[in-house]
Amino acid sequence: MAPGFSFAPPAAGSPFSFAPQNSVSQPSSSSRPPTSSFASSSASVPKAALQNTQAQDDMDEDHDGRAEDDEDAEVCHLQPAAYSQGGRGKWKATGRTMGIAVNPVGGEVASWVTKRPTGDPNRPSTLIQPELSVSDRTLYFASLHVLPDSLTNLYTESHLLFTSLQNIIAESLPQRRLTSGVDRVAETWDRRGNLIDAESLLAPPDAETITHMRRLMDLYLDNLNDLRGNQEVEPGLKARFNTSFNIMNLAEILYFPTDGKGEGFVGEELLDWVNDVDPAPDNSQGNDIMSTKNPWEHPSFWPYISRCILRGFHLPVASFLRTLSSHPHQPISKLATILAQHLAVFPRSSEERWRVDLEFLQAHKLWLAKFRAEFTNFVGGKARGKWFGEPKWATWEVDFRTVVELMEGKPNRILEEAADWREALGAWGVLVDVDMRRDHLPEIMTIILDKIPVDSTLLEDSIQSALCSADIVKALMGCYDFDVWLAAHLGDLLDKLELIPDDEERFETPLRDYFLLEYTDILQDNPNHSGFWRVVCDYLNFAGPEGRNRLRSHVVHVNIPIAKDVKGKNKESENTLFDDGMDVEQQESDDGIAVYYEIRAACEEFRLEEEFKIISQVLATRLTKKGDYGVAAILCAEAADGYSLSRIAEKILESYISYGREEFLRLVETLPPKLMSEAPTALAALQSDVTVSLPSDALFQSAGSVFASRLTFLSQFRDYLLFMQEGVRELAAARLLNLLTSGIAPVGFWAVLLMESITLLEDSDILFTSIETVELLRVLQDVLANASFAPEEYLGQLVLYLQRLAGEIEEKEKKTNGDKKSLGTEAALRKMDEVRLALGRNLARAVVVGFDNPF
Amino acid sequence: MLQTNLLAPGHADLVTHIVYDFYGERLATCSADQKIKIFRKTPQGTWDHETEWKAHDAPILHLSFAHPIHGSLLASSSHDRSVRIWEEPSGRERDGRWVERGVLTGAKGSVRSVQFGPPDPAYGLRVASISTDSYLRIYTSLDPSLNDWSLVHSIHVPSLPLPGNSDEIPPPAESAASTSELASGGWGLSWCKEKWWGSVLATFSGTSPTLKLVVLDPQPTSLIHLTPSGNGAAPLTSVAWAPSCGRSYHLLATGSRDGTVRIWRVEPPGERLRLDYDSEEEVKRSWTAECTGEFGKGGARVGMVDWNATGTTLTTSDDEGIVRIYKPTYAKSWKLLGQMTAEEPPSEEALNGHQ
Repeated sequence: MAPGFSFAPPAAGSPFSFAPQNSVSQPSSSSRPPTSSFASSSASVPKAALQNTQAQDDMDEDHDGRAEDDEDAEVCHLQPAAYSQGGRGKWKATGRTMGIAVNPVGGEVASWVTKRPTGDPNRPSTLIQPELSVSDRTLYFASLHVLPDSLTNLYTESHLLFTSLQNIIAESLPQRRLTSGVDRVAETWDRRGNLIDAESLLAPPDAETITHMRRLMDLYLDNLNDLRGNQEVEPGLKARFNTSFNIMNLAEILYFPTDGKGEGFVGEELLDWVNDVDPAPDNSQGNDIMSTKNPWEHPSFWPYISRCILRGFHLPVASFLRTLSSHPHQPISKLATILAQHLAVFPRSSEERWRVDLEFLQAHKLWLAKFRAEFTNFVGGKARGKWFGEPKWATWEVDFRTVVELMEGKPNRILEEAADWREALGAWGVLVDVDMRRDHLPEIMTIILDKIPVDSTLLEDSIQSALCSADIVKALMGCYDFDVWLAAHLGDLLDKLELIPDDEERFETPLRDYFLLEYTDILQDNPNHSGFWRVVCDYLNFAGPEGRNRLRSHVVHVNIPIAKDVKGKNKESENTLFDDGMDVEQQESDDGIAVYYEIRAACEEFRLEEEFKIISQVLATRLTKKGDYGVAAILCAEAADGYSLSRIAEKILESYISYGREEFLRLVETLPPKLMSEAPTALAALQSDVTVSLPSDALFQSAGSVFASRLTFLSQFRDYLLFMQEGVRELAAARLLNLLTSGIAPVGFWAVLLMESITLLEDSDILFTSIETVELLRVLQDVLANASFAPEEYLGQLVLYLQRLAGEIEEKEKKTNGDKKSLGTEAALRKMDEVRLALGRNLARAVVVGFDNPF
Repeated sequence: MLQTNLLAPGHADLVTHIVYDFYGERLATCSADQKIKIFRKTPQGTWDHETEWKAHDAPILHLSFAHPIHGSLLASSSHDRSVRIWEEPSGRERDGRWVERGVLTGAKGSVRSVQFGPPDPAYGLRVASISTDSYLRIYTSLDPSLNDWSLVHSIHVPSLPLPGNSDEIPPPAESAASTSELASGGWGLSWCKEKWWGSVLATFSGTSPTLKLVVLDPQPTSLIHLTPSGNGAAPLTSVAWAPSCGRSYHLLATGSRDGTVRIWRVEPPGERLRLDYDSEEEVKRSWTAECTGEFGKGGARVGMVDWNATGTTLTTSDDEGIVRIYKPTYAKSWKLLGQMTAEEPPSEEALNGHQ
């Protein structure tokens, strides 16, 4: 199996275990799932089973160019299987096929067995075998990316580093601008700046910025290092972390030097890297050789020495060579001693004794001169093959010559002895070009690769060699094939050095942005996507214009959990906080508001005003539906959504009709006091402006007007109810009159208010003057006249109100066979007659007794 | 690709369609058993049954959730020739069953597909449906309580003239579609998720291999017709308009009866250019398109096509029961990323034999 390929065939076993067959402890017995598997309507995959496969799966979230061919693409076998191997034809023949749907959030793919359309599209499809099997009754869910915990960790940790990095660069921008411009940060930020005017051209980051970047890169490396050493991480994944570490480490050495400038010699650092990536030679082999009586008789004696020299382990080589001092043939022991002596003092640029580079170079030059002189002296002009006298020692000469040439840094010898290009490169900077600098690498790589080509089947090798050859695009494309996380983060780093050329001719998106977008695709399309929503925001925000656009649609899709259940009619929410049943709901609701505030903060940070409006509006709609009018009203106000605000006001008013005074008063109390107190002023301001009319039910109008009038109505109607409650009937009457005559009452509510007036009209005191009574009569006439052609609009509310009252009476009297349903417009009209009668009586009283007696 | 979960929705017949809501937190399923069921995602990622009800008098064919700004709304279409609009009951009235807010009739055949339009304050809530009579019908409700639905547009899809051609092909007389045409035809629609260019959707009908992009207002007009090059292209079976995420171009995927999946890249006229056009008509004619991906020709009939949220991954299903997932490379060529099948995996012995 290709390394890391994820479409592992699930184990034959219970339909709930999707572990690959080669995973441990999987029973491989019965292959048919038991039909009784669905105990509950929804069954989750056991966690243990998942974890076995997660790691494997994610290994290839980025399969490289698999063939377009179906033959080559790996297959995920859904469980429970619908048909056996080779049984597809038969299954198809029954009229079955598969349907699919993609979750717009999280990318989950749902599939299910469905019917193939038959001949007549107007007729339902039929099945040849209509009885449903287990698979027919299953919805299958699958995900392209399933992230094991270790990846989730890495992705979470690196997010903070990524954002810090963007900030560091943003801070360095003003200094880097070649010519100062005002407010150009945003334009140059996404590197479209390459094409715009010179004012926004940027110098590469300065040394200080690069050292900052290196520090952050170290933290990326720390994360990877922890993971590659973590015993709990699945081996395949560990290997991937290891490779990512090696690649990123190499990039750091080459492009983010400690001094920020990259002026120093790079040889030793590269060699250390080679020794870390591919440790050699094997210590135990060395011990093995040394423990033999005459170590030089060990078959690996010379190869081991060569490897050690290539890897810069010169002191061990010296001690190996010293064993030859006891060699019976004197010239051999003599030359070995010379070599050992010189190797022991081979100057290394990493030694601390050099105050300046030049000092080291001189020391090396001197060393080489001395070594050559002494060696020449030893050879003494002897011909080839005659170094040690008799021909039987000629093979010794070959081995010695190798060591000498390696010490002298002869390129060809190094290329011959090196096991691969990496080893050659590591040795090059220590033995050949001891003054090797970063700029020299591409040229040196050409020489090396000419002799030792990279095995192109090893992705890791081709990425590393491309980095060394300064072929950044090739390196990053390789990273992308290997691991999207690596491509995204390394691409981001290298892009900040202005190292990635734009290829706008061929591609729409800059490479860096493309990798970041691919990475966010993984963060967005996996089962744990909800944990990453904020992370995704940051990456998208920094991923160029397309990222910004995706951010807009991403943020509105973030789910805000709100408790589904409504507080019941008679449950006072404040008092039930500690109710057992409420705890969970309250918790969920609090979570929801917390998420909402996080989203608000994100929208502010990313300047997503439009999106925030939509989010607020949707949430307000949901809360309104739930009956949580207070919070909903606040959200509408935030979203400047007057239309939804007035809907809320209507809902509260409806509560009076459906549930009565207490519920109405409770709901009005939940509204933000500020809104309530400002409403009358706002309304007055609007009314004083003659150009603003207040149509009662137009769909689209300014946020303020409708809601101001609705709110004023709510507030005044509340006052009326409170006056009634406290028995201040004159004030109640005045308020009621005002409600009906000022034009702020919705027409549907007129009849209800008129009915309210009955008790006041029948009061022993005369509460309405004759003029006021006539006003009320006029309203009554309006209602009746309009009700003749729009009864629902003018009397509907009253009918509902009467029905509820009738229901309450029934309940009180424990009547069961009441006919409240039969209460309709007729009853409402009868009620209006009562109003007319009461008005008539009051008019008479007012005229006769009242202070406005005309007589 | 890994199976993460499964669910037994408990329908008495095969499931015909499922849809996710805007947040991916809810799932609606419908079936030939005439019922709709709603499931809600648990924090553990499993699905809890929330409610179900009998919604139609014949097998249900298609579902669509509205954008949440319109509330919790679901549309269903059925062999009973109707589209029904359902609203989640609010707390107090809730007894499980969603409230029927509209029965949209008028279709003279089974309604094969239904989809709510994207939110657009200019037009309010719209829902489009297409039935086997090849009429694309657009309904709207301006009434906030959603009780008053009216037909805004009724478009005979085969009669839509080519862009720029004002001569409308007269709609055929009643029942002109022959039975053979019906038998091998397909009907589908998909809204453009952006409102920038007005109310735009893609639709196809009958045995035509052409996908028509239509702007609805003021009069339904073709923007561009997407016809595969070469002769003998097979009738379409499915279409999905990818979320464009603000890109300057659109991606549409179609599936055909002959197994071909095509990806069309459609470019509307650039906004800066818009001012340079002489007339609105010219703007409408300036849409361009190219087919950037074509695969699977000669295979089994494509059943469904669907995009992920960013329009970067395409999922298809075919009559062989195989689900395929495609993704573009950096160079925008499409590659097959993975497949799913409900076939039993090869036995261990067979696997070992291969290795």
